[in-house]
Amino acid sequence: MKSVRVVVVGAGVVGFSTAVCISEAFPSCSVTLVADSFSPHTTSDGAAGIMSAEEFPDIPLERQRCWFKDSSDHLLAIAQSQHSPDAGVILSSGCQLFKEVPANLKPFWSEFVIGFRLMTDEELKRFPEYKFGRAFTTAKCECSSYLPWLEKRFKKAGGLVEKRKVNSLQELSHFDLIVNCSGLGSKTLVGDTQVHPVRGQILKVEAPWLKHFIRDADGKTYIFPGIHSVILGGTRQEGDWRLQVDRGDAESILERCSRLEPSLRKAKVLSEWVGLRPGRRNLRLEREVVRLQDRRVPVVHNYGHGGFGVTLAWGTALDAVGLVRQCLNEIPLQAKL
Amino acid sequence: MRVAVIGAGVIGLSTAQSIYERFHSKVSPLTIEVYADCFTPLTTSDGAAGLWQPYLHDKGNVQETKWNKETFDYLLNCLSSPEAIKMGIFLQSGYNLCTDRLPEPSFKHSVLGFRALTEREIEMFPGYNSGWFNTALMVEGKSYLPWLMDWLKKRGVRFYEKKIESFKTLSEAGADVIINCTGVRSGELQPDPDLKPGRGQILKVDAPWLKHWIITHSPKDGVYNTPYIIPGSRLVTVGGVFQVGNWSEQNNSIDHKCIWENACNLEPSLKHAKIVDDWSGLRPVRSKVRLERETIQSGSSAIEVIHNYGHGGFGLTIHRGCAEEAARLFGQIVEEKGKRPKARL
Repeated sequence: MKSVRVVVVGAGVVGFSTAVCISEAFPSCSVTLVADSFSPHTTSDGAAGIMSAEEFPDIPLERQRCWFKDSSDHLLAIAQSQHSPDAGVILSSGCQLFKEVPANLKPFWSEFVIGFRLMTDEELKRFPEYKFGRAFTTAKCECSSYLPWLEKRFKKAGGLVEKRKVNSLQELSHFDLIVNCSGLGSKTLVGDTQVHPVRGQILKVEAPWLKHFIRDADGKTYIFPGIHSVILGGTRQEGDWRLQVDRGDAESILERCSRLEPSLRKAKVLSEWVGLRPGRRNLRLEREVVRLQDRRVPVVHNYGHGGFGVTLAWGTALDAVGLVRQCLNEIPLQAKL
Repeated sequence: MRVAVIGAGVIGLSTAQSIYERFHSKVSPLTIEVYADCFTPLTTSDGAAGLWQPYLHDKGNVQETKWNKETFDYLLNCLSSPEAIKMGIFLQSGYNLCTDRLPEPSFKHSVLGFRALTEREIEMFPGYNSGWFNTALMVEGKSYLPWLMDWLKKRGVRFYEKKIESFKTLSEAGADVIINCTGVRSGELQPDPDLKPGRGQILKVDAPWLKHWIITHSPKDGVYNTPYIIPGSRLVTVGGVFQVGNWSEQNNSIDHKCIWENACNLEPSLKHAKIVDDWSGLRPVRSKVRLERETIQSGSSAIEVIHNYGHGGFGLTIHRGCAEEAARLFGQIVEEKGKRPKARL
């Protein structure tokens, strides 16, 4: 009996997480990952990688909680293990600051991070422009290490990797099941007009004395210490396709971050980077059947994670495995001969 | 007035600073000289990891608790100054782990965000069943001491690399007040049976993925005789031992092995870390800090001495509070000398 041939499109954090989960869940399937860009050239590589989440408006909250919890448990387990430096996943403590007290004091993800609590008045004194804050410990995932680590794990499970640009699903008609993790690429790959770029620019600086992350709840200003550098961000420019570094943005980021953490004024800038988050009103995680050539091929979509790719990759990958399982159960027997 | 400070560790330098700050405009001329047989980066203060944290139990020593808190508040204030990085001051959070349930430490009110560990956090550390999490300050000796020396030099304080044999030598050379900050070797200037070395040995490793300090506590093993891991601004300090009465400043390979194995058990990812350095130092251990005046009669003259030594494993933690107290004692001497009729014309 020929094994079922699965293809995963996309080599970012969602693509590789999904590919690993599928190849480990279905060892008898042949899984190939195809993408035009690999680490360190994916959107995920520039991501600061600190878990954070916002609610998608139209997806049941319980499902989103599940995604966050599964991702968090997975990353925290790596962070606490001996694999931490190799995988680029570390424990990171810090705070999220609000200029106005939020309506929801405890967000849906508060029980899934470690040691979640409200900041004390004494702690808030350091941030005079802010009235409220949350402190917690979470995982930081550096994709420039994590993606190669996932790739090793994928290959160990028998996965195959192919570097090639896929312009349409028609090019994948020789597979039995397609898993689409092409992020922003879905705009052209599957004609999804809802997908749009949300441009983000960051700076990498040398500031090894910074041990905590600090994040403004508006999502635009953040300081995320990593293994070898500190990431300063950022911007959230909807519909902006520019991949070049913008000097005005760079100055604004440095200024905003230095206001939060004055010692940054002495930090040496190591590099700058721009990425386009795959924005969508709701993350698309569902299956459909598509007509390719003269076959009906099941497709599982897992894209549109916006700025929460690292945060939700593993959880959505596990969810996608469930959808893949449903597809596999429905593949008619004759197709497998 | 001529002040001679003996000792250039964190205690000597910070005491010189406090005296200058408080009296340079009140006493004229005020000459401050620092004498020491070793300077940064070779002092005991330089080897310390640099975490502000008193011992878990203050033994009811209210004064020391007060000085610790004063130091924390002072360092927290320095944090917002543009000099903070040069001073080696930054915030870092971490875990205090206990093998038994222990009462909360007195420093819980000084540090930021002090709280008990959650169940999930306790599970992160097999072998420990309780503990606390808080944000504390780091003050790295290797940056702080050079910064202090710079600060003092800019204000005219002179430094002399010289081993002082007796208080009398300095007094005869013209010092009006002697500040004794000689740490573990104070016994050489004046015998003190209460002062003993508390030998410590540490490893410095390259493990930049670690962002929290972890200190373990076991009442039966004694303070700092169980593993601790304290990331610094460049390297991670791994310890520890606390061997009272051991004067050896040589690195011991058995201690090294023991420290390394225990630390790797505590933090599995350490096995990937490169060990960069070994260091041993002698903590100046005493039942309590000796911070007091002493007027030593020498023939017909009186030698004014202020003792400020015996800070054990919490020198960096307590330094500012003690320096300010020493300056206050100095103020008493200034006042007394002012009231005395002028003996010399």
